[in-house]
Amino acid sequence: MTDPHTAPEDLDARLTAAAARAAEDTPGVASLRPRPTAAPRGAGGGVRVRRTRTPGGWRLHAELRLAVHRTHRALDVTRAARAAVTTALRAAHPADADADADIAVTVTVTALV
Amino acid sequence: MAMSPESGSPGSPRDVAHTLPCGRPLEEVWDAWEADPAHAAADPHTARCPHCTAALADLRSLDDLVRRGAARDAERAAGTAEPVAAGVTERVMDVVRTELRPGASVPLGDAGEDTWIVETAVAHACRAAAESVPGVRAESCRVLPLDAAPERTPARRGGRLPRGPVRVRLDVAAPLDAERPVPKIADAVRERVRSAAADRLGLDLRAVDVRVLDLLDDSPEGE
Repeated sequence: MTDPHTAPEDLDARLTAAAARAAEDTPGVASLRPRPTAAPRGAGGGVRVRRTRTPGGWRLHAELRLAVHRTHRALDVTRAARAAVTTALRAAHPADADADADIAVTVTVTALV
Repeated sequence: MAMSPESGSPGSPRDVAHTLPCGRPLEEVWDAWEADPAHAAADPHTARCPHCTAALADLRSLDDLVRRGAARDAERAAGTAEPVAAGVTERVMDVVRTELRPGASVPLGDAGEDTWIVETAVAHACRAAAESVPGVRAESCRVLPLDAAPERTPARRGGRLPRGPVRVRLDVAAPLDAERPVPKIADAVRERVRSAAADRLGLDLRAVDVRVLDLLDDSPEGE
């Protein structure tokens, strides 16, 4: 309804995939799996993106659950992941939405591997 | 809000057991599988339940990882005198702890940041740092808000600590060593834990309470 070209669920899937890719590509991120025993799979494992309408446009809230490599400082990895995911979400969110999306990213380190 | 005083046994593991959507505790499935994999898989409930089946599949892949890890360790240890079993067991226990008892989330970074790390990961890093002091064996490790009342462990299950600085309460066994009195060893442990928290995690750790619960006399004979 808000976007003539994309069904909302497609957009949600696309945003989640974009966020997952950005997080996975962040140096020091070992995996997005919230559970270390689960087999590695495509995007989406430890990422959830929620989209809500606000008076001024959209609010996107991404939740990341990351396993971080011991070779990296955990806090630095989370900051880099947040920056990458924010950029990716901004790029993936349709530009023809009425206004810039307000983007928030929660990051939880679930394991050091 | 009633805050029940701490009861005798601190944090029974069952308190935070992970329950599958079918109602079975993951630990129970795990235990059954450990006791007898074939029997566990043949259990009528387990065989039909998608949650239990998935849990068992996860366990098998973990088992696989462990076996491969063990083989690698064995290769590596072939040239050295390093004990193989210890490394594998330690790694398995890390995974188990993280998997089944992730504990609370601990704030990471500045006050305004929405960044967290699970308590088990912090505890593991702190225990490893403590054990880098020769002869020290780390035991229980808890992460608490800096202003937490001493000797009281707030009950929380999978919740979040308030944002702000934290303290770590670490129990260790220290070596019985005439050259190094216990307070000196405790200082060394504190120092290692502090720098690990700062350099490896980025945790705002302001206090490390070290309790030496045991003295280990395992100096090799004849030295």
